[in-house]
Amino acid sequence: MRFLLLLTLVLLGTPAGLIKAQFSGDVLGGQLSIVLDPQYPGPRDLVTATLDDYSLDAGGATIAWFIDQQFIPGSENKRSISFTAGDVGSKTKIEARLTSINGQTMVATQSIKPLYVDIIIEPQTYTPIFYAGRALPIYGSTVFLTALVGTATSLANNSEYTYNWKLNDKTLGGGSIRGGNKISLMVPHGRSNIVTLSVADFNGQTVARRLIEIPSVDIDVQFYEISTLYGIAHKTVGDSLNLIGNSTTIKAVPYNLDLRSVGGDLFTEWQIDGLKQKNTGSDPFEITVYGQGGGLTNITFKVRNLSELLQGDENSFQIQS
Amino acid sequence: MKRSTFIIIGFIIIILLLAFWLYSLFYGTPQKVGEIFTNFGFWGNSSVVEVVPVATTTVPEAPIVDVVTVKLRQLTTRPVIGFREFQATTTEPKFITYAEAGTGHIYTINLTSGEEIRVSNVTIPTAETAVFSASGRFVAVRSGFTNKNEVLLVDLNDLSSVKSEVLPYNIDNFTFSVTDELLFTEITTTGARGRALNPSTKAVREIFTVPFQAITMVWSQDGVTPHYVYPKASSRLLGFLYAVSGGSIIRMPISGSGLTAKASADYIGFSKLVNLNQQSFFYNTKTGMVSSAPIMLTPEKCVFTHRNNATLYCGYEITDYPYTFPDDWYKGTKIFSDRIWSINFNTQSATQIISPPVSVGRELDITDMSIGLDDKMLYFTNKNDRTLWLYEI
Repeated sequence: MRFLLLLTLVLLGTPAGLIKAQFSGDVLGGQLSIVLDPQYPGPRDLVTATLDDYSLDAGGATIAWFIDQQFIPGSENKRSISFTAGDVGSKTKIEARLTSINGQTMVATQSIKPLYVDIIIEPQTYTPIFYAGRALPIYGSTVFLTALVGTATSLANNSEYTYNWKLNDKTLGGGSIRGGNKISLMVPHGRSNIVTLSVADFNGQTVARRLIEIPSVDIDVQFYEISTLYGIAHKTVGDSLNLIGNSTTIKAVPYNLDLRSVGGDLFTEWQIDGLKQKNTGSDPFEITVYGQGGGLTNITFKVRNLSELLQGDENSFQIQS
Repeated sequence: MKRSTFIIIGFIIIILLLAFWLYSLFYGTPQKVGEIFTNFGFWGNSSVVEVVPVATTTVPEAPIVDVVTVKLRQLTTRPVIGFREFQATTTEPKFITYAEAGTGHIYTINLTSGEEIRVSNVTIPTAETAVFSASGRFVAVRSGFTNKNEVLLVDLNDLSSVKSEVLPYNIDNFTFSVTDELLFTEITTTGARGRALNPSTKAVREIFTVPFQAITMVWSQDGVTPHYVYPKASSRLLGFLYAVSGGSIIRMPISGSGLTAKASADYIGFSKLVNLNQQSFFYNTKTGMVSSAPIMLTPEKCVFTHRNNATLYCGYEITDYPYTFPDDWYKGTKIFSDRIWSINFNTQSATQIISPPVSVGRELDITDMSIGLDDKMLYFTNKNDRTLWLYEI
């Protein structure tokens, strides 16, 4: 009888309890886990791992950190560590071992499998053909978003992933979409808007989450001199222009104007010394200015999208003739 | 002698001297060439002065050679939209061939004699960009900076009858490969695709596709370096670098706001916004290491040398690069006064080799930096007036 009782204690007692502690982590009365920041790091991202043991009675316990089974020197009793995530396709195992005063050990683990998830923002606003930069979004304009999942050897097949897009915490496209790596949105009010993308694999498990800012700018009118022979200049007129000859042609370029309004419901106006000019040319963005026989002439251009009145700008410069 | 006699003689002498002085004043002026003022020829005094020539040695005439050539010089006063250096053999003179903005007329300059001739009278209205093939036979010219967007292929094979044709593609970005293929991108409904056109046979082959439209290409200039593609740069938007490898698109570990890049076979120099400042780095494609670049690298202002993948030349002004860069430079609202620098990624060093404001008194905003085949000449245009310049390294 005494032997059976001892056997029972051996089987159900301390060793079993220790095994349970290592896997469920409640030997100290709670759960042990590792919180990653960012939660789904990209390749070579700086990652901070923090021990979450708030539900435990871990007073006096010691902490040790391991990455891929290797002890990290200097990590003794640190509640968080920072490290660089591996390259795309690699897998990193982070382990925190918490040993209580009475020698019981609890282990928490996390794995990182970095994946490139890029979100490319393509605002549908105007820039001239010689402009090498990207257009910027403006309130009320359309923005195309494209997510690209990159592995070590290529871009992933989009149908392998499910995409969930949110704009300022509101779900876009009605919910998660398999292969839905492209989406468009209208830029809402505000200087900055946040888009969140969650990417899940075939099993529905989230593999990446990204958060990006969609800026919202104003129309930016710039003036360029046009040569009849050589074409448009590549530097702006600036605040003033010295008139060489009897006249010059100026083009107003409305950077970031909503593409839908170009050639559409648009108000434009040129003023010379405060007087509205009748547009006689075919291009409302061009004006030919003649010398006034000396002195300064003030040239102003106004543009406004009549379909979206907040899209508008005016700018001016002076001509010295 | 009596005192009165002495006074009379003195008085007569004074009268004679006064008379001589008056005569000299009124009649001593030379009347002929060769006469000398107040020289009356008394006592055989001649006005003819014999000039003895200084003995000199006779030197045979020789052509005057200006050996003090300015290393930095302006090649054109016309605005230029594309150019390329050509040299048939190392013993023959170098030529720079360029296309004029607005007209598309093509000129060539003999860099030895300075002679400039127009080789193509084909006028391409509103010509905006031009690229020359490596052989010099073909030129692709973009026409129409306003409404139209056409790319014409000009064949310079027979200069007495230059042929040109509009290419039937919606071409966005284009260049020539080392094998004279026209490499170009086309905007599609789902993104963009890269293609290669044989200008002789007009055969087209596909190179790659990407699912976004606003792309900047880093075309391979040596046939060894892969092509790279990234979204057009803006300091307000994130960019990511992708390599085109065998038809696949591979994400490179390079990203950031305002991202721009330039590549050789071994290195990728790139710039991005870091803590609201533009900073430059270089990535070693062999080791995967990223290091800080010694100066700001702007792709349009830099060129890798042919002989060393770790060295390049750049235009750069020591100044603050605002967080709105490169947007404002692309717009033309920000202008630089560049110096030319030599950069070595292996030693992480940069050396200023010339200052245009000091050497020629001009402020140059360098763009379209290019280098000759023997790494001895730098060519670039000044963004302010689009004139073509040369710097002898």
